[in-house]
Amino acid sequence: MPSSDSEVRTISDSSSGTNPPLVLPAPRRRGPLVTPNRVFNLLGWLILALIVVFLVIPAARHGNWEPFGDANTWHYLWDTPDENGKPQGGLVYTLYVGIAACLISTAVGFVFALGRSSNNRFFHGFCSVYIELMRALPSYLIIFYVFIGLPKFASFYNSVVWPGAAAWARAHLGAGLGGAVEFLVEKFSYVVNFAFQWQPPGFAIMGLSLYTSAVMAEIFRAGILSIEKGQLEAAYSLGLKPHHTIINIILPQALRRMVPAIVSQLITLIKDTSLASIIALQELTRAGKQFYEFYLEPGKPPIVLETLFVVAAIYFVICYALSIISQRLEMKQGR
Amino acid sequence: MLTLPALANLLTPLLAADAGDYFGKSVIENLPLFLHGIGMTLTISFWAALISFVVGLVVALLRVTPSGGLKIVAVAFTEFFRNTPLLVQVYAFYFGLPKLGVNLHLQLGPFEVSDSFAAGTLGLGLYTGAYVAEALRAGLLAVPKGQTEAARSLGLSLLQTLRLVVVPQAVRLVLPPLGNLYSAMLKNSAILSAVGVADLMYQADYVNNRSFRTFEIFSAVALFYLMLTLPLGFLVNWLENKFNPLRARRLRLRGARV
Amino acid sequence: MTNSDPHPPSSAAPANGTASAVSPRGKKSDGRPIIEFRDVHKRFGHLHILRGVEETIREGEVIVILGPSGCGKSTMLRCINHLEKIDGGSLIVDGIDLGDPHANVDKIRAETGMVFQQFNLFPHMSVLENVMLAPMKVRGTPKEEASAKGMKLLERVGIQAKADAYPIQLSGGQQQRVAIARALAMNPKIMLFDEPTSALDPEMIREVLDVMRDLARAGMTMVTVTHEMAFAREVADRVLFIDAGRVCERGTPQAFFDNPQEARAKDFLSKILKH
Repeated sequence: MPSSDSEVRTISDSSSGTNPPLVLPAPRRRGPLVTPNRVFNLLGWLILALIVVFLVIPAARHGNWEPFGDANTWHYLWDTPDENGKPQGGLVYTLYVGIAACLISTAVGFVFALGRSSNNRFFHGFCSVYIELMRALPSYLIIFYVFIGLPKFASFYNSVVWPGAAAWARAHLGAGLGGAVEFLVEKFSYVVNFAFQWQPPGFAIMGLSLYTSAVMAEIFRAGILSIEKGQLEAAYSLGLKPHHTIINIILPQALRRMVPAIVSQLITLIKDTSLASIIALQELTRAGKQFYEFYLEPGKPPIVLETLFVVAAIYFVICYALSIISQRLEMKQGR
Repeated sequence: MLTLPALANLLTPLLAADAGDYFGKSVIENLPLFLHGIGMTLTISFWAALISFVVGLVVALLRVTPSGGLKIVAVAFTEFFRNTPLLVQVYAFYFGLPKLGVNLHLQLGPFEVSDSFAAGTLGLGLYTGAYVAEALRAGLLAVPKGQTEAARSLGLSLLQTLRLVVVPQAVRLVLPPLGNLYSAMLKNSAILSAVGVADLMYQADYVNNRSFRTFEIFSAVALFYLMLTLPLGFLVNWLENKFNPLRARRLRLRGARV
Repeated sequence: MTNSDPHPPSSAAPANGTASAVSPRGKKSDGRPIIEFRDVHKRFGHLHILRGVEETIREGEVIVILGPSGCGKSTMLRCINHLEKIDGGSLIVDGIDLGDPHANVDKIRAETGMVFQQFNLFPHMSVLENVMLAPMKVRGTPKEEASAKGMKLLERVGIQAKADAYPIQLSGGQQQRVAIARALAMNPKIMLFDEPTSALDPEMIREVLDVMRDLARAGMTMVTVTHEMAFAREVADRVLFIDAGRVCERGTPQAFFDNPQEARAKDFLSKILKH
């Protein structure tokens, strides 16, 4: 039997040594699929040059870019101010709708992800149906549905539910409890009517949130499920309570893995705000459309493509910046 | 049809104006229109899918070939089309191209193609094509380099390597995301109604403007869209399980635990 | 034998009061029963893994569980920590019956440390944070105290120099030693080791076994599933041989390795010791 004294010492010895890490991150990039070929490469540059010379340069030269040298154009696209300078739409509305829908759908999506992961059959079923339904419908349709359905619901609530529930409560529950129910029903009408009066940005936010929250819920759930079982077992065996396990072990790891998916959904959300133009919200796309429709300058060509290009470029800057940020974050994690 | 109206009558005071009326009346009366709409949605999705796959394949190949100029073209295409809204792109094709003198109203032999259809298919096809390109590229690059090296060291030619080793593996990786993309494309086709493509959404709007029975009409349309997209979703799930049974089983197991 | 060797006080000093109160080696059979298996059954679907395990483990004992793969060794260990729920019989750990649906599982888990084959360190936390987490969250230990104690434990497993490193920067042996320190941070009464060296390269196995041997000397109650026969022979007070979901043979390592009684145990040993 070997002497244990010497073995005890080897512990501290080996810890100061530099052992290579056992787990290496998987290689991210690989070389080209096809071996380089000089002729082919030259041909590629030639095609690029042709595209620039015959497509990009003529488009830039022949377009009527004059209106975009005017500050008023940019004011119009930025926030469409009325006589008092109050914002009426434009990029400000696009960002307003996008950010609000993002915040709401993140919170709601988290709740639905937890609900779908729960063991309670009712919660699981309800959340699953909501998520699958919303993901299977076009967001265009959902926005339209909210636009049309919500006012109907509001008037239905005001004319049928509220008086009916109040009368029933007064008749059957007595003064105390009945009064309380009446009070609650009345207060809830503020919520309903507020959503109604909040249109059209309110409808756009609500419609986009309904769809995005379902997608976010699936992203969260996939992130949570991607955590190895061993992590949970280690946490449990240390005696950590479920909420500590979620907050300290699962979420920090899952969030990192979810960042790319969340950002790509955010990009989709920003692009989807353009759909709000069909329910008459004066956001960037509709502002651009109105701008080229109202633009009349004698002797000048119409500026349809120019305006749409500028609008597209604005969306591009926002969305591309988001995707660059996401890539940076991803690289940072690949430590 | 006897029980459906009877059932619907329960909801009538809630959703319909008169007695004798029933929930869903305008949908049933205008069913041919809705069926036409579904047909148009499927048609436009088919052509857009075709365009997007061809475009996606070409762009993906341009990106994996080691040619700087072509790579710039491919990257510019994918990034621009992925980072701008489909609606703006469709507007540009529908309202913008005619201003350049491009006639979108085509007569292809016996087939007449309306300008909205042409602009819509082109827009949807290019938009989806940018995503398809990324999915295909990711699939091609995800096949480990060791596979190519092993195949080449066995004496297979480059084409043989691609055909026998890389592509079969890439297909397994690519099919589930492609399924998701085409499911999303089907839903995105609803946007084309904004330029007057007579698809399901357009017909819904049309019937709605005549009958003002919005709630039942759009509920029915939602149901129709579900009937179109849910089978695609199941197909994607099936593909994922088929090609990645280990992962699927692991997810199921974990799903049961958490 | 090794128990007569004097060991360095710094490395052998027990980190908790429980362990130091245990009687020295040699009198462990007199200790109070701390884990009692009474006809324990466990099924996975139609697989009947544990088929009536009977065993009493006393405070301060070092138990090594041996057996062919798939016989239920790991399951037996995981039942003690309630990572697996038992399906029949009773399993009493430190006075709490785990067969009872209202048992205080969190208390058991906090009092038993578990070391896994795959280490299961939390990759988003530094080594020291891994060790500090449970005392702070479960016991409410203040940060400074947890940190001081964590450093002491890291020193005990010989890895204090890497306190601020992240798990991915450590070798497998280092990670496993951190995992042991993390488990010790809760002052466990029992330590469970589930094949702690099976995922390690040969040259790293010894550094982990040294830490475990140290712990055993300090009087910790330990239940270990391992394939390290030399470790079992040297350190174990008793060896349990499991086969087909039951404890098939039990005894001192000397008796088991030199003179096994059961045919299946003989068969197992002949296969293991030959290679």
